[in-house]
Amino acid sequence: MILIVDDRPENIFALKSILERHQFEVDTAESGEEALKKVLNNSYSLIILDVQMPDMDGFEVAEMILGHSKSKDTPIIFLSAISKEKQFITKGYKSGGMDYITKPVDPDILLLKVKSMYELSEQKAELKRIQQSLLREIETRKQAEAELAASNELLEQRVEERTLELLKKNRELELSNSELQQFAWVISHDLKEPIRKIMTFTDMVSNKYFTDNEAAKNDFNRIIKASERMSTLIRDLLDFSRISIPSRFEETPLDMIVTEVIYDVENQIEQTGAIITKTDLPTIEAVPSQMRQVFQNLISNSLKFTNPGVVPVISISCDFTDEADINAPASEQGKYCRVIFTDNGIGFDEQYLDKIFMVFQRLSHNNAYEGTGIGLAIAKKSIEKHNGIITARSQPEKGTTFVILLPVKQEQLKQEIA
Amino acid sequence: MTCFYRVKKRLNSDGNGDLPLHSTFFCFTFRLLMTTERILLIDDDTDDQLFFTDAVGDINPGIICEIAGHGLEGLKKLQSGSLPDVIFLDLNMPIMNGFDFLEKFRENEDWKNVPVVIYSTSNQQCDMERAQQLGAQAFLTKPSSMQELHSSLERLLNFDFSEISQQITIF
Repeated sequence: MILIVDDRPENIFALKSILERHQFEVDTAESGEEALKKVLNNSYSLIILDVQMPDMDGFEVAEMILGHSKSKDTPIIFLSAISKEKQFITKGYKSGGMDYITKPVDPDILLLKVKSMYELSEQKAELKRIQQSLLREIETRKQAEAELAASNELLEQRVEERTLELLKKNRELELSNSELQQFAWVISHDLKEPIRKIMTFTDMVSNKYFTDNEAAKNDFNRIIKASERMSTLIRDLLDFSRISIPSRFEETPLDMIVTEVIYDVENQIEQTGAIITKTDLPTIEAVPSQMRQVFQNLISNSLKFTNPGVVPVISISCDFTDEADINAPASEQGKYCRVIFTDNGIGFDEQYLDKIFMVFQRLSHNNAYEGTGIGLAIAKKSIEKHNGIITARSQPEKGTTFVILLPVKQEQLKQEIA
Repeated sequence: MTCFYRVKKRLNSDGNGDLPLHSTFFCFTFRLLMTTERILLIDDDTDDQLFFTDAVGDINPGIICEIAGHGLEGLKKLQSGSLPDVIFLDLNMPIMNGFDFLEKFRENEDWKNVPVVIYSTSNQQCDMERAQQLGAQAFLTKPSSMQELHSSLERLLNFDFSEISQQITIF
């Protein structure tokens, strides 16, 4: 709505008709006082203000209108005579909502100015609305941020709590594990004795009192054989439980150990006609008894799981690598020693690769091959204790290749981890 | 690194065609026992005492086996009677165990020439090393068959240098 302020009704009428013809809503006031009253009670998009009025100067009216917060942004068009121009400029009214039009009023020019002022006013109002809605949005965003921060803190707290819980559970597991190992050790150790007695006494009775009784001796032999199986199982369990006991790493000549292991199974080698070849093996930092165990297991397995009618051939070789990767390229000064152990035995299906290293898991179902199923589990546990890796490649009936990766030096690794 | 000498001999396989057994014990030094007439066995286990005396009886019924149930009793027997030609010593015993016996044993000048063979269930190298350090001459792990026991004792009691099959190194 537009407010026209002029003390001459004929002027008001003229302006009013022009504007109303162009669809503007128009209100009127015939004095500064009336104008102010109207401004207080209504809001106008534009005020057209006669500068020459008897009781109040148009500029004074304008000042009051602009001073009032409700109407301070209302654009004003002054109707002035040319002589008042300079006064208008020097008073320096703020915010571009000011213009003037000279009397007599040119209707076209008036319309142009009114339209542009009107638009300006509308735009200002729109801007204000946008500003409001933006401020509101900022508020909601800030709130959301605060909530996020709060829930973040809560989350962190929960994570900390869970971590503490996990650490506690971990300690409990470690304790229970160590107890179990002690348990296994004590049991195995105390079971060994009675079995030894059973075997020795049975042997003694058989040879002493039944020397000529073949049938009796055969039966006694079965007792002994069964006891031997029990004894082997207990020994393997004992070995397995012993691996976790902390032991010192020392300079271990692998070559010497493997040579001795081969010598130990001299018997089986002769019986099967087996051929074992090996290249020189290096000295590494390790636990000698555990290294001995590993090679004992591997060689014993290779001599046991043979293809019928095929001469067992075992070859042991090694190189060095720089990385803890089975397939890393060979490197002369490498930090890791890679031992490759190949046989031509019955092999296994590689889909069971994980299974063969597990305790008590045996792949042969028909008991054709004796064994407790702990040997490879012991080997794996030992190698892992040395911060090494063991794996195997194989095809059924085509033999097996074990690949073992062992650090040459143990101290160095500790430093790296630290 | 400690040097032990492994003595190995193949026993005859039994009639069933089973794999022949190996009899092994460890000798710390070369100490030839010319003839054995008297043995002192220090062992608390009555079954092992039976096995031992039985095996010795099979080898040579003329050998006198004296038995002590623990280290202290062993010392007393040494102090009172005539010295044996060899002592077989168990490790785990009540009242005074094998290691403690050895410590006391080597203090006595009169007994220096009597060889001591450890006769124990243990197969642990740490026990072998400790026994060697304390002056024992050999270490025999109690076997699970009379055949093995017989064979080991036979050779220990009439030690033959040619039987040394390999020098092995134990850590």
